[in-house]
Amino acid sequence: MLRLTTEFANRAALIEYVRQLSGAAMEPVSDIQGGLTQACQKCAALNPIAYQRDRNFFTGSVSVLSPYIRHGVILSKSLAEQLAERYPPSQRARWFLQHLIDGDIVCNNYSWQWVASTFSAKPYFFNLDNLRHYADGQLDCEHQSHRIFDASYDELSARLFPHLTDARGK
Amino acid sequence: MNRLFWLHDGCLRRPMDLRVGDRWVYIWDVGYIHQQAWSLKRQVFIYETLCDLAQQGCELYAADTVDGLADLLDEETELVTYAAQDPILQALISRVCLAWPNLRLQPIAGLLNLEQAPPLKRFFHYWKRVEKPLLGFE
Repeated sequence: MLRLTTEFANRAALIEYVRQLSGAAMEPVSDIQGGLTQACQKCAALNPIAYQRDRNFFTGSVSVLSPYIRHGVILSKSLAEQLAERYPPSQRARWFLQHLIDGDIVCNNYSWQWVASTFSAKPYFFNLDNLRHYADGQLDCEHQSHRIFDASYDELSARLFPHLTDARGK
Repeated sequence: MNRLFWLHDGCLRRPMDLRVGDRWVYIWDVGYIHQQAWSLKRQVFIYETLCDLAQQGCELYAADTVDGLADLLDEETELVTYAAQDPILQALISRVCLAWPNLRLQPIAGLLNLEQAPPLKRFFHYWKRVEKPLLGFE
């Protein structure tokens, strides 16, 4: 069985080694580096106040912790404990609500229902104004292919779901 | 009895209860990686994490997972791993379990231990239950 190499002259050498190992095509690689040290640095740099304020924007103050949580590099419980040492409950509350719980695979049986529109009778969609707001000038929102979504929510709902009834069947 | 901790891509961290004589390994399984259709970006992230773990004593191999574990296990060694949420990974764990029915599967650690509670249907209900213990109001 082949023992894998773990010492590399630089990151480019590691990337090439991994590429050859799995026969992957060359493609751009993220600046986000793996490893617990990196995860802890990101946790230490986290500003829950800024995160609350603009995390949904294209250029928002996101934590970049998702890949570390997904792959179990850091447990959501450890993350919560680290934050608990730094912030009082009043500041932690919203952060927990909107990030940790949502990212906790043990607890989160909810988001998929919302995105799949099975959570309630209300379909999940957004209009062009919403995209303009959160894209922060980083996307071409005015491309002609987007015009179909340039309408109010009521107009879009009527156009996309003409036979929609509410949860009571009305 | 010594233990062999098999790390998979849902638990890339040092096992907390390692004892002298235990080994912990990750097996780079190209067939599984292709099944997951992971981008090079994802693979590099995982590999960098593995290099970090190797410095702490984790052994890294390239092989088919079941074949690789067969090479590493003997009758005196207990195989241990962690439960996963990813369906493709769950299928891999099931395949390993078929080969080693005594595989010890440790649960995923959540923010709080809700094992005793019935499943909750809405986030609101979940939050109502966990807010106090989680935020330290109790």
